[in-house]
Amino acid sequence: MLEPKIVLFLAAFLFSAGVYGVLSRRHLIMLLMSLELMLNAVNIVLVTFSRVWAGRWSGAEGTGLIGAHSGQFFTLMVMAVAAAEVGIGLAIIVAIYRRKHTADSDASADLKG
Amino acid sequence: MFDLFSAQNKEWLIWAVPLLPLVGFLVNGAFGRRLNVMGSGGVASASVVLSFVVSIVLVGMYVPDGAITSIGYSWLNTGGFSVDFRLYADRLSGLYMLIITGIGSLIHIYSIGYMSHDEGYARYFAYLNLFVFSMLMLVMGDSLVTLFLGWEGVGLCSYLLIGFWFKDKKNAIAGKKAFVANRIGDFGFMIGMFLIFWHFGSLTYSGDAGLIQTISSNPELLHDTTLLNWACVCLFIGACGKSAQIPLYVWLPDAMAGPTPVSALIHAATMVTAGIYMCARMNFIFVHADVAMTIVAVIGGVTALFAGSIGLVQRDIKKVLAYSTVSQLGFMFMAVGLGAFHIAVFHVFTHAFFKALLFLGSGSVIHSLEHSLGHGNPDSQDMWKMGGLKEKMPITCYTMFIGSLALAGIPLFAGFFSKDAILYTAFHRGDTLGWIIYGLGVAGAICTAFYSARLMGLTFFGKWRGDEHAYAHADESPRSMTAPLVILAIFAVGAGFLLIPAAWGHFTPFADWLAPTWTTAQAMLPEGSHFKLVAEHDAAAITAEWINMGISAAIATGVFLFAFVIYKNPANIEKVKKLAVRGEGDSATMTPWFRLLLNKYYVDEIYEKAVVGPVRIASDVLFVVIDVIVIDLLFVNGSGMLVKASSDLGRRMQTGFVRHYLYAFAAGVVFLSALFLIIANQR
Repeated sequence: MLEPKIVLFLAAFLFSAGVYGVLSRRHLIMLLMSLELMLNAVNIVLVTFSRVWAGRWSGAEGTGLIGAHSGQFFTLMVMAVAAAEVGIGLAIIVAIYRRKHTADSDASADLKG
Repeated sequence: MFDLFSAQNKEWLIWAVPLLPLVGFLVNGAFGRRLNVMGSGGVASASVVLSFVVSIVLVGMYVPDGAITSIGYSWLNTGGFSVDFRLYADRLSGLYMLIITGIGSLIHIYSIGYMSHDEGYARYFAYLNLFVFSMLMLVMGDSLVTLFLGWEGVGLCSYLLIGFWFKDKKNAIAGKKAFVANRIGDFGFMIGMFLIFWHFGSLTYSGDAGLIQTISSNPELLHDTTLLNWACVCLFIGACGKSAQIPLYVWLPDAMAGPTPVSALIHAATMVTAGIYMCARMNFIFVHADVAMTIVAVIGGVTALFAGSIGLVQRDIKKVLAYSTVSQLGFMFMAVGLGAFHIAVFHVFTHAFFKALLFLGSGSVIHSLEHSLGHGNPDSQDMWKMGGLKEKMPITCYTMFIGSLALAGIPLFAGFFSKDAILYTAFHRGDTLGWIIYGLGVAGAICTAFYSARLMGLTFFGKWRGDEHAYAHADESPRSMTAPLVILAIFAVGAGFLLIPAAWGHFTPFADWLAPTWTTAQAMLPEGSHFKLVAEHDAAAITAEWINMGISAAIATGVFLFAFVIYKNPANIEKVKKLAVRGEGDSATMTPWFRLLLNKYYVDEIYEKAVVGPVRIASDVLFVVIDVIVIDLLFVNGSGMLVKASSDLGRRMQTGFVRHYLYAFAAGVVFLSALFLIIANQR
């Protein structure tokens, strides 16, 4: 079996890449993409632990399919939410672009104190 | 048949007495502007007349059988201190109820005529009804706290009505002066209340926890005379404010700025006698405070003479009556201080009639002259510019003549019996204090007789000295104004026969009526006390009574005739000017004594220099240091500037750039994670 540690390193790398992207990029689409990267890193973690715990619990009393595999359900849930979020996010980006003629996040600083 | 006035209704009816004028106040306050003067005044008068009728029924049928008490609700209830909002009508407050609503009714009816040309009539009648309500609360409340409620209420109405014509600044200032002088008195009154509560644990009169019961069952509480003296002196300071005694009397003469019926009702017949009511109500404490009683008597005597002497030379008809009122209130306090509470209340009773009569009569004169001289013209009150009005206003003249005879104390008129009783109490006492008070009282009585006659002579007799046009248009007042004068004149003659001294047959229904009020005090009177709380038939003292009566009758009649002869004839005035009263109507030849009296002993000026000036300087200093620097600059502006400066710093953080928020967010995550790791490792 693949070591969970390796998979978790991958997830950490993807998450860090996402954070770096969110912090360094100014284009809104790039921000959204980096966000997706972070979400997917989380998904990988969820799936990994689901697998680890399923192995540990197999045979244990009182654990059914749902208990052992809940991480995978969460993953599906996150994907659905992420899809919805992308939909809204893109709609906002389009609206901002129509208004400001740019998709640069620094162009939208109207809440400056 | 349903009988409204049956005995089981008496506890309900007692509430009608104060509440009817309150309803009148609410109606006039809310809708008075939509009514005409007859409607507004009609509502106001009807409410007081109804209240008078209910008072007569209650006092006539039920009060003689014992005091009526009726609890409204528990007003204050905090720990050991509880006050019920309860009405209490015994013989003393019953008498006051009759005076207030009876004379109040007449003055309300009179006011319909007097205020018919004033656009503020609705406001006037609303205030007047509120006054009657407050005054009834003052005398009908069952504790010093409810008394104080009424006490402040009448003070408020007095202020509002003195400054009724507030567009003239001096009227507004007069109102303010009355309010401030009363505040000083109220401070003393409150200290007195605190002391009584501290010592006796109660401020209520009746009931198991009331003062009367407390004193009867714990007589040892009365041994602490030092405390009782202080409490009574403090209460008397309150009475000094309300009842215009030295040193707080200065507001009453200025209070004449208000409409004249107000002067009659508030500043002569009722409100200013609240101090006497309060002392009479607290009689069971006052009789044990010898020092305080001496102070009361001396202040009363000095005030009687002091104010009376100022009244000798005033030119303004209402000012003469105002100083006369202060002087007569001094007489009442003389009686209080000598322990003759029933005589003090008797003088309140007779004085209410003849002084209300004199004020209403002077109002009739002023009203008549203002028609041609214009409203607020000082000439309409200057007696030196009057004369011969008898021809024009016979009813006013003759009724006022009766009033001034009663005031002067001419035998058989009301004032004679009450004033003579006061003088006799001092005369018969026999110690130094008694003789001092007697001397002050006789001197005050001489002044009284003189200024009464002078007022009549200058106003109604001799030749007219003012504006010819005004005299031509002067006319008798309408019937709504003269009718109250006639009724009051009847009482100014008849009221005195309710307390006839022993020398004349000892007919004392008035003193007998009030006697139950003093039973507690009488039963606990210390050995050898000088105070005589009830009218005694002392056969041995009849000679002394005749002597005293002869002296006061001779003085009153002699001085009255002397002054009347001088002032009724203009030629005599010219002669007398060269002698005693040089300066009368002519300031160039004024003698120093005359000038001193005309300027009222410079008391206002002295107060201005000694009290008002320093207070004003202190206030200015406090204004600059506390108000401007500490409060405005430091607290108000300072806290504002602090917030502004700190938010200027915080504002910089809100750049509006999404990535800056994200940096902060990421930094926060890192920080929290690090914190979490450190804590987790330390476990």
